[in-house]
Amino acid sequence: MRLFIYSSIFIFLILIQVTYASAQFKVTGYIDAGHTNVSNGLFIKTSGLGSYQFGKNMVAAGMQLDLKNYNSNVFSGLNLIAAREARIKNFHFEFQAFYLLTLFSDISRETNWGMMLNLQPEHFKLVVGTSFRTFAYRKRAINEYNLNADDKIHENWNIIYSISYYLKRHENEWNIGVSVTNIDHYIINQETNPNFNLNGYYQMNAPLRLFAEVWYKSSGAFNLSVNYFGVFLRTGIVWDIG
Amino acid sequence: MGYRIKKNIALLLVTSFAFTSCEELDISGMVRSYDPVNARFEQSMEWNAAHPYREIIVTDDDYTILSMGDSHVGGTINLDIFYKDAKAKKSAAVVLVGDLTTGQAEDYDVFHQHIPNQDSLPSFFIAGNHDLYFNGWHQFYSRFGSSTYFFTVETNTAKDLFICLDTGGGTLGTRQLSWLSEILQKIRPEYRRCTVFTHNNFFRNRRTSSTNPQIEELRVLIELFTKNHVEMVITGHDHVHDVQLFGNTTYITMDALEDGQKNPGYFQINVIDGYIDYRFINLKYSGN
Repeated sequence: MRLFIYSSIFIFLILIQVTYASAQFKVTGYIDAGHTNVSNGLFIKTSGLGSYQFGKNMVAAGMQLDLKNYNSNVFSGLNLIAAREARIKNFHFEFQAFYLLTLFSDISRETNWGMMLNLQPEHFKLVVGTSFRTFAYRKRAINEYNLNADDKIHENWNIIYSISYYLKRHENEWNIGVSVTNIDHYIINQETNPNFNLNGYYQMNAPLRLFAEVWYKSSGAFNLSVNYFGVFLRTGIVWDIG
Repeated sequence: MGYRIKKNIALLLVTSFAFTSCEELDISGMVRSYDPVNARFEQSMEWNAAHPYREIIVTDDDYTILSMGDSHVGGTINLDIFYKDAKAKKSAAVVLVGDLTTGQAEDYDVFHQHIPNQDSLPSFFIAGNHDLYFNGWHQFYSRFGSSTYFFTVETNTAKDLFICLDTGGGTLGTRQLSWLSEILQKIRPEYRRCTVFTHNNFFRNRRTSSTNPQIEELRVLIELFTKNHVEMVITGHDHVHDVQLFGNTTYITMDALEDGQKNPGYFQINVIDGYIDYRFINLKYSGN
């Protein structure tokens, strides 16, 4: 709950700054609808992410709401990002640090923090990084099920990757791409569970961009015994407020 | 450019052929599954309907169960030691949590020949990913039947529940998950202790190419096991033993039993005065 309050304050501060500063502010909103082996039928999620660019620096915060899913939580994810663009000779990249909180049930939570490098050579978007995952119980579960508050499971140095190829150059007004990745805005899978997506965007006018993604998730590919896990459609807008 | 593309395609084809020709790996499983998890589950349920769950009755209050995984037969030296120990320790049952074979029919035959009579020592089998290679599910099913079921052990004073799950495809799938939820919610409360056996280990404590269930599935399982007081989850797959205590559930990953492993071993559960005690038995140092 405390984290939720802090994140709300964080987002609020960003909004205040937008009002008074002339830096670049961008809002992304999207909705996911699909099915997984654990969603108990159709799931629907929505998320809003705000990012604030000042010079070579960027901070962003986002929240995920589960509108329909197996769990009873509505507020299911928080994402905080700080990034800085950098250059080594002619090599441009962005360094990003992040914190991710997933409240997937009323019993337990998952936190991830980590760092990654983003590269955008022509027609490609590449992400590589590492993350540190912790599973822990929530306070109410510790009391209700008589659990030990110190019980935590850590998975360290998880590899993060995302490899995307686009048909057109990044500055084109529309594009279509394919990606293989183990990350999304509110989830970091094990590196051995790659997910695939087909994605595209259309720049409607200067500030507004429409985008859509189709994701396919599988289990067991690296065990050479692959099975369907889930599929979902994402659609949303990016509003470049300026 | 055209030459480079052709060269890369040729290299890919040669590599694919080399993998598919391998006797122990079935690379086609990376893109397709012979028998998807929901189809295997349906067959397991058909088997269960014709073969009701087993109730093992022990005459003492305390009892022992042995478990092993990843024997990858071919070799049977450690498998024989495992069964010899199980008999010597008067185990109430043994549970074999998958990757018992390479998936090849001849290895299933060898494995089957080394299993003692079910009346002398009840053995419970679960399919692992290797058991499914080369259309191996049909071999598994024709010899052992179901890969999703439960059995019970009854002492003078209490009854304990043991649930076996099929994660050979890296996921429980929708139907098996629904079955598990129902068992835990409706049947679990009738029993003193509850232990779950399955092939895939849950947590990633070291860097390895073997795959765990998707994070979203892990979250659901953690919740199910916590809410329904599952005391222990016993897995294999990763070949190196590990223990993670999370809440009231102990998550075990066993060493592989396979001949030639650096530290081959099995797992011993002792139920003493109603409490679960356990030991990892390392065959390298056990005097066998």
